[in-house]
Amino acid sequence: MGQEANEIELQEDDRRGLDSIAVEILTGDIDVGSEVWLKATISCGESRDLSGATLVIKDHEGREVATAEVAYDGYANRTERITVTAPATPGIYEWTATVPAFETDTDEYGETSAPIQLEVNVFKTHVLVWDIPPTIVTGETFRLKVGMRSSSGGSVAGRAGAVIDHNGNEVAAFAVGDETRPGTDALYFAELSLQAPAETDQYQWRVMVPASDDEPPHREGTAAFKLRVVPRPDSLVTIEVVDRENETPIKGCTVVMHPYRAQTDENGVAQLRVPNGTYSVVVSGKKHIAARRTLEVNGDTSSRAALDFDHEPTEAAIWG
Amino acid sequence: MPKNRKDADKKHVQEDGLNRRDFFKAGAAAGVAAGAIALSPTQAAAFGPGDAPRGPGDIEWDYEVDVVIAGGGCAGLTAAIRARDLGASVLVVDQNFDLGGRMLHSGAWLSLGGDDPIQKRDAAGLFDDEGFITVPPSVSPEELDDSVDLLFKDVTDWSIVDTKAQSPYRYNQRDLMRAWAENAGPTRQFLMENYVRFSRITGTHGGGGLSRARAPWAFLMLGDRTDMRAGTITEEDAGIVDSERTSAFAPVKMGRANNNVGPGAVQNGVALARPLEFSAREKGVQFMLFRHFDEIIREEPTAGRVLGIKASYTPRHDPESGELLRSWWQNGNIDERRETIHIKARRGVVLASGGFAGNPEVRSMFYPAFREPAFVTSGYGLQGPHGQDASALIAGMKVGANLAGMQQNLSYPTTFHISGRLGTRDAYTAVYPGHPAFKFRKSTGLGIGGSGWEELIAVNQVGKRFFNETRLADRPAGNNWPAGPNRGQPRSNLDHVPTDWRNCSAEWVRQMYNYDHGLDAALAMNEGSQPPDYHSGPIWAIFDQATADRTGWNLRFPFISDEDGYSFRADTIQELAGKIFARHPFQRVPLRYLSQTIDTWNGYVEAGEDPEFDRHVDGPMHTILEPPFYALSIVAVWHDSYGGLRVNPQQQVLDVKGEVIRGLYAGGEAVGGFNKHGLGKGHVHGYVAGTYVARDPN
Repeated sequence: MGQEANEIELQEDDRRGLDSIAVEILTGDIDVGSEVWLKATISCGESRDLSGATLVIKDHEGREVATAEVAYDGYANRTERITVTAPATPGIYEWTATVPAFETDTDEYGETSAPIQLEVNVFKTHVLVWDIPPTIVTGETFRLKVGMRSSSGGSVAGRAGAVIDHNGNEVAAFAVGDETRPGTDALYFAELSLQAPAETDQYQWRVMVPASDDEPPHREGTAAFKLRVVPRPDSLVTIEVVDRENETPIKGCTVVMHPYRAQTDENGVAQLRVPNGTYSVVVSGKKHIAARRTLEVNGDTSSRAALDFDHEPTEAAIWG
Repeated sequence: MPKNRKDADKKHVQEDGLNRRDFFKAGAAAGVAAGAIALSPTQAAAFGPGDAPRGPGDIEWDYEVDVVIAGGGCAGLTAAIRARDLGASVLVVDQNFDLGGRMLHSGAWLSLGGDDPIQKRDAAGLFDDEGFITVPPSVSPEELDDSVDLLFKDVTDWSIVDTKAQSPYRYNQRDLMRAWAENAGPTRQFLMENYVRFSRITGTHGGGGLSRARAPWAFLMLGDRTDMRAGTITEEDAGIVDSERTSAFAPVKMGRANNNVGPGAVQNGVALARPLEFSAREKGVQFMLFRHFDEIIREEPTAGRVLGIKASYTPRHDPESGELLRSWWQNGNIDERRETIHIKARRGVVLASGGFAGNPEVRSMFYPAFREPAFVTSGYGLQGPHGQDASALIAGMKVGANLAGMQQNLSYPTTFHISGRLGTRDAYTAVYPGHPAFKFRKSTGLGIGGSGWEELIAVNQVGKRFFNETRLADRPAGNNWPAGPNRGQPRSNLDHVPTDWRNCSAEWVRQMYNYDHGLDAALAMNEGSQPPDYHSGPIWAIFDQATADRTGWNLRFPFISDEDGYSFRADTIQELAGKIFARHPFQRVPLRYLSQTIDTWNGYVEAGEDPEFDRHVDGPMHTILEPPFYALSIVAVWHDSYGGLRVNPQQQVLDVKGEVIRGLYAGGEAVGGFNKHGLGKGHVHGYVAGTYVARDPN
């Protein structure tokens, strides 16, 4: 993230000159019309206090777009964060950072300036994939969700994309819906139904969203995701999770027998269908301390996990 | 008055076990008989702020009083009442809008002992005179069978170590501990005479010795009116009517004291601070709020008697209405708004203005990485920016005072720690709307307990993980000893053998050492640490909507706030990083690694192994994939401080030659040489300082 700082060596004139103005672009990829944050460091060879100098940012047409005071922190002369607005059309722009002539108690300095290169692009398309089952049995159909968001925060309703498998083949096409996902500002999504490969393995698939020339234009977007395709299970493992003190079942606990995982239901029961083998079972509840045990699975198996409630530490435990 | 430490020691020995009781009786009488206080604003300020007088002879005093006390917390209020009882006119200056200091937001688990009337009451199976207590004693009579000698031995026990192998008692100043042990019991009695009610003893608070149970809780009874004389408080004032609101009376909601008192009782610092404040006002102690103690005025810069103090105006206004805040009670308040004033103390000045946990420049001498100003001390919202700002230390050093116990700042298990309360800056306590301090912090914070850490990842200011999250907030447990239980105290403290070398043998330390140093990793330098400060920057808990659904966390106001820059929600990780950088006041650099960190983490979850920090060993790991995404600030709290001014057993401040600075007393966190956490130190210091300052010959 971030572009290279622009730095230039400056010529001395008859007055003392600054050695350099370095402008750091703190914002990552710059979108058209977006807010851009800059921070400048100016120096003059030995460490001198240049407080009182002003930095002026001018755009590619020479218009002054921001000014900032320079302050010395005992190490370097820097500005605070400077906010400017990127041009409204994409392109590579040359702006300038200028320190007009100024005086300190001991020295006079001539005007110096340095270029700032801004690479401005059309909006990005962020792609997200979630609700991917942690394990998928060979050849089975599974579901996941795909989301899209414009870096402009505007609507991407109806935009299309495709799912590309590990061989580069398109296995599904989709378009996101018209509604944003609850809890988000501008995330549009679709739920997809896909078929797992026939061979047991771990695969990397991708969601591709092509660039769009519709107004406002967008870059393409992509997101990789992993599929773990597993053999048909041999046995059913039933884990019952209870509170150790009162023996009541705990709902919503996470049970992990990597790579298999499940949540407990109202009865504190989680069921996992797994191949036979030796597993490390990790059980954890939202307000209980995680516990671990080793489980040998040679057929349908049941196990009970008693978890300790995560009591607030007592004053004695903290301060004893 | 003794001229040097030797004389002071002699005097102390002579008064051993004798005068404290006499003082108490005299105090009680004086409290009743005291007439009007000769406290008079003498004239308008003779000089403006910045026109520092050339010497004490030039000072035109704005007020004159027998005893000036800087700070109205546990040490200051106790000293004020005690000095007032002994006939002195007393003025307390406090920088805040209300009294109580951090005592007000404390748990009020007050560890004393020695010759302690509450130990005797519980040991005898008796109840309180008012009949509020309905539960039987919590601990056995054997564990309550205490003495001044045993308490003294306990708090100077060289052999005790905690699970971080630190020695809490080894470096305590012996003469100070003797005086503390002797005055602990009388202080308990004194507090009870000033409307404080104590519950059953349930253990011993940190630094209060291991051999016996010594700490009950202060409580009040729920009733239809709030009346400190009657010991009652309304549910509304106790802050327990609405689960998400408290009152202006109680910054931290009071807790039910069912186990320690019985049904209908509530406990916390409110039950300690408010009765003492009420009693002080009733007895005629006067208060000047919004008045920050700045300087001590001595006859010569570093010689002669202390004459008074210089203090400045530090008003606090409601951030929304702009109105000046008001203390709960007004009687005894002096409304003084001049920028700078000088107050003459005819008998002496007591420095009870707290420690330096809130001053990053001062605390950095113990832990340079903690100069990071993003992290505040506990009670920041309640006390404001001047709380715990090292004012006593700074002013004391200026007039030649010596320091004591400075290294003890590093030898207490939880002086600083990572809080399990996320998404708020003031992460030590939960303050809800309804108390004026809430508006300064804007959020209560989301408590995730110990188990919640497995639901998130923690990243530093550049967006990189830095530690096993499930161990990040672990604190070293309390003192451990071979013959006792593995953790905590006091229930079988009788097993403990004081001053036994086995308590700290190398074999034992290897066996019980248990500390993970997560805080230290949180403060470590990273790619965003820039010269000259190399600050570590803020730290963030990152999780997704699936975590929110799984945990049921209350991700809403008042727990978190959209306005304070300590919690964020975003549709994508990129947007989340951008929001944090734009709006968090201490986020100095972009979180440029955050997206990459999340991808790497999701890969670890899919692989079932975290090769960087071994998270898979401690609990389940969860992917961070489902929008929206959340970031809540994680805060390192510097809770309290231990080093401070060096004092003698009369709480008189000593200079670097060991000589008494006449007319200058100090107590509580302003004082070093006693590694006691919390209230037990402050109240006893206040009691002793109040006793001696009231009789200080001028």
